[in-house]
Amino acid sequence: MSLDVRHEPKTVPDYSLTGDLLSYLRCGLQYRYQNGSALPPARPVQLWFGEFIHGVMEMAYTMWKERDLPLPWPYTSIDWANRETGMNLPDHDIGEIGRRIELVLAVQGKIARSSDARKMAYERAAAAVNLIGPALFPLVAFAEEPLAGSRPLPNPTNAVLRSERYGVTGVADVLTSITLGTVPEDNLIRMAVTKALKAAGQPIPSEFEVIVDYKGASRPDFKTGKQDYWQQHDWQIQMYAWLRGRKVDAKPVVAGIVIYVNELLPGVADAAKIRTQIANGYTDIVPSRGSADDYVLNMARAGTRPGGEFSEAFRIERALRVIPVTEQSISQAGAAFDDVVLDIEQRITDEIHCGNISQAWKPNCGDEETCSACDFRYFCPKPYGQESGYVVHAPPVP
Amino acid sequence: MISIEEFLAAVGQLLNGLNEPQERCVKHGTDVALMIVAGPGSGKTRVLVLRALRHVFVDRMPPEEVLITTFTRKAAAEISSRLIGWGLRLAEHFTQAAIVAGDVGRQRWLATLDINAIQAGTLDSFCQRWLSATRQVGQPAPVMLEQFAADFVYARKVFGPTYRNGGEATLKPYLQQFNFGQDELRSQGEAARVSTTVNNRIVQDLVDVNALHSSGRAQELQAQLLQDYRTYLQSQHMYDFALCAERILAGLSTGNLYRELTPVSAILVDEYQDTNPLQEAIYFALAKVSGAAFSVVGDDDQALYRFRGATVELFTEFRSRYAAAVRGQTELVYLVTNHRSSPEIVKFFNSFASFDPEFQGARVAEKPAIKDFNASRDIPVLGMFRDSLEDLANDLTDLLADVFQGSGRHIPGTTVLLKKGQPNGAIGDAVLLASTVREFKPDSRTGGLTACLPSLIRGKLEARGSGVFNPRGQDLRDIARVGQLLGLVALCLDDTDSCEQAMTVTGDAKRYIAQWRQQANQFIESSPLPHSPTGSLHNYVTGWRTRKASRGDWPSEIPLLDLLYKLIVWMPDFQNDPEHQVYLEAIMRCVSQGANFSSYGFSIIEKAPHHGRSREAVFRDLLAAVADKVVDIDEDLLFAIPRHRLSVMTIHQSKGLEFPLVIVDVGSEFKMDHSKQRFKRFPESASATVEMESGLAPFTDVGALRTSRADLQRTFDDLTRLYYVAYSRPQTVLLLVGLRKNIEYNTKIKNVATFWRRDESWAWRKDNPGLRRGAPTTPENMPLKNI
Repeated sequence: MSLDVRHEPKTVPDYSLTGDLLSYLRCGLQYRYQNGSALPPARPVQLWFGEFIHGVMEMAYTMWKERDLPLPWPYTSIDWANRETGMNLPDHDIGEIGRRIELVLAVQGKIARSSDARKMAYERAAAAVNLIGPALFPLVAFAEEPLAGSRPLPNPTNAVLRSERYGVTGVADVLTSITLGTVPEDNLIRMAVTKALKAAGQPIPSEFEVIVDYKGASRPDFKTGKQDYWQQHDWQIQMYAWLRGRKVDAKPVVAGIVIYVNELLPGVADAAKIRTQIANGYTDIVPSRGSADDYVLNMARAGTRPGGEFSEAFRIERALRVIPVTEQSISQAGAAFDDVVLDIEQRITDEIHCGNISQAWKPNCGDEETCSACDFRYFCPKPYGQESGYVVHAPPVP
Repeated sequence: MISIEEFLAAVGQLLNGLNEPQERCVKHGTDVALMIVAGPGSGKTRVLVLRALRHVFVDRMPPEEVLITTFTRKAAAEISSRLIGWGLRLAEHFTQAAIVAGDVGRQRWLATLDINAIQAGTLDSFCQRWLSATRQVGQPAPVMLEQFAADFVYARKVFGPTYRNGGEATLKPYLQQFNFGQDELRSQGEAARVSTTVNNRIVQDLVDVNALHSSGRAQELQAQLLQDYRTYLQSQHMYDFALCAERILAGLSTGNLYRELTPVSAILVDEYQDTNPLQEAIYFALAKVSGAAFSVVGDDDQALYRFRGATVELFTEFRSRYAAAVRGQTELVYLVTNHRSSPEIVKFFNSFASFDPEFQGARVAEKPAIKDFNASRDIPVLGMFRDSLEDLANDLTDLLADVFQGSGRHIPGTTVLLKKGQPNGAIGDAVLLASTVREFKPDSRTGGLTACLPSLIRGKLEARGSGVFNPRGQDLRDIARVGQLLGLVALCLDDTDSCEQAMTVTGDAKRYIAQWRQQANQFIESSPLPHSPTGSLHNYVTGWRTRKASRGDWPSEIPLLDLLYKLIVWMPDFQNDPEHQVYLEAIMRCVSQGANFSSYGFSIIEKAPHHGRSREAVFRDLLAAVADKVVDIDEDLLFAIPRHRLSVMTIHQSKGLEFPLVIVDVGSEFKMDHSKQRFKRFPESASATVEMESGLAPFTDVGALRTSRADLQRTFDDLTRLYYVAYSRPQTVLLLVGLRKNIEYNTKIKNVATFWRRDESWAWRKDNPGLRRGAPTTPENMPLKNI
């Protein structure tokens, strides 16, 4: 008499676009530890800045909508010592908005890396509200809009997997609705979108939606073929567009905009990075030779504060990246994500059968920055830049 | 429109159809609330999911307005998966039909349907979501505390100061009556734990706090502590689940909250037998304010969570309570056809539900017996009883090895050869269930630990190249690798090796920390890899103790997580083994949540006076917390149950699961009628949970209903339900195991699991009391085939 074989019920696992899929692309083993086992980062610095910016932008938008206070808003720097009590500033002072967000993040254990990093985050948040807000806020149809959908999981080799479909989730920071007849022609979001669509030869409907995503980062290298954040951000926008397009009330989503917040107020390190990008041909936005921005860029050295010296136009141009959306681009991004999910699901099946994490999940971090900030690098069998045959050695004290 | 007939026809065609009562449930309209009493294996999830889909396809409710709640995140994920899988197949089917019929309107409507938008989750998760919707302009998002962090905040910030500053004399005797076994409270930590449980009950039972407050000095103090705790949470923008749910109820009751939410057109509640009064009030308030279609599914015989505030009477009395609160009508449907188990197993658990007349009063009135559906495979319910634990472990391991690694095992006296399924059968097809899955228990004779059945089986299976998967088998504090890791932390942070001795921590904490240090030192002496002249664990720990950095100056601040991640370089189990990852996550979660309760947020500061204090905080808030069993593991992190190890689970954990072979431990630890063990098999007095229910009964509306059965009866009811769940898990084979003493004809070991009735008669024995002379060796009516 044979027993039955136990089958786990087929599941439709949820994958978050940013939390899972982009994270897995950064490094498989890091993904397993952070997303599979929920091991927290020792220094959640990047997490802090990203969440701080999102929090400030969301609160500023809500306040702008409810109270109708014209932008720009004041920004008063609040010292660390005054963060608990505040300084009796008006609610819409960006320092006060930041303080409230900072307190909540602190309760969750998320704290700025240093007082310099904290100050820079506040200043960048203020730049984002005052430089982007006036154009963006009037166009907002939804903020922090949750998006969800599911896709069949292609399984060309008929591998034994726990899933036949997977769920995709994401949160669009902002969904804008643009009606060309009502939005002023000099609105910088409208201008950027129409310019990019024209360049792509894409028709512009009279009414459309644009998905906006804030990134607490600088404009990434493009076409490097390495750890391709440029490509990944594109895919993310395409998938958001796919998810949004399935909603009943959606108008055509013609583009997405990624706002690279660091570019609104670049520091010395950012300036150095831009110089490297330009030297290698890894960026699309460069100042014209001999312009004021070109001087600032090439003379930014340790001890200087280049951010505010760059023209607003240059900073905004570097910060805004318009990604045209077409059926074809959505389908390509969907196929790319299907492949990533299939890869993850195969690893999960391997782990269930072999019972060993590092046999099932491979470290494949192709980015020095990600690797050197990874908590698991001390016991990683193949850290960035190491050849096969690498042997784990004792970490430095402390 | 898709008619209900079309819908059912599609279900029949695509999803194997429904039996008559299942079909009645799906067919049932939206005006009258539906109560489904669903026995084990009767397809309740199937019915619930199809009913939700019916609301979308037939009743044309927008998917996002259909809401399903269940008891765990895992169950919610399973429901979501089925909703999406089946919903999309049905949508495709109806679309094709509409194309053939040329019905453009229906095609358009189906194209806009977003099945993913149907909401499935725990009620806690919905409350959390709804709470965010109530946020005012300029207010940051609320922070939800994990339960253990909330407990920690309460113990440290609220309870501790009151208890230390004169509250102990009043609170201790009050809380002690609610302690497990009414044992003496040995420490402030234990008192805080019981006080937290009382707080949760006050909130969950909708206790009239004013009346409680004025009923005695201790009650006044307890009510004040709860109030202080809430004030503290609010000052920090923090919520725990209880406070969050209470806010939602208040918002729904006034009608203000509902306006802010996505409308709700249908509410379907799974596992309703485990609902508490606060949750019931939320459901009823939501049903009332929304006018939503309302369905509940449950089984009173599988109610296991009284200790978490669940009140089975809310289910058994659902119809009258719903009529009173929502002023609506209800219809009752029983699902009784079991599609899971063999007829022999169904017969066995049916007889278990009915063998004691005194249990019948606790069940839904006139409840029919479960009917079998599957064909018999002629395998009787089996028993394996041995004289010693060692023999039992040996023989059980041999059986498992024969079945899953060998050519099978013949069942004597039958023609049955038991062997693993094909293809891909593995020991993961079996499970060992017990009321507790502890691998070791304290030995009062030696003061050390004695191995229990799971531990013995672990050793024997490992010797055969397999193993046991039992992440709850030992407390975190007793896991060897956890002890070594925390011992290394202690060595790194304290070069005196005695820091905890001068601190206000429990005796357990002092003992364990000292023991972990020893384990860590032994581990260092074993020179684990990586080990070289330039770097070793010994050098690393010495560097910390002497504060000599490998490069440059000692940093002013180091996150504790950083130290932990570096230490596990020498501990590959934490890197590779899924079970150890679960332990590691529990430790890391405690540290990362530390910002909420630990004064330095688990940062190690170099500058005086924080140097010593920040280190002491680690001892108090992490090491002592693990030693005091405050930190718990989260099994939801596992992708799936490993296929090549034997799963060992508590019966609570097994709820909702099924396995081809289920082994139930009914008496491996009962050698004699020891009074200390009676609560596990044949209680003499009310359990602590029941005591607490009765203590709060005068101050809550549900009190009278709940105490309509006596305290001891309710305690027995819980034990009966526990084994009912265990006996209804298997598909093909049920094997009861224990020591031989348990089944001797004249045994003194009374045990509900072996069919002892509350009147102290034994259902397996023809004569009660048993014959003194000429008695058989085993009871005449034992329904087991012993092997």
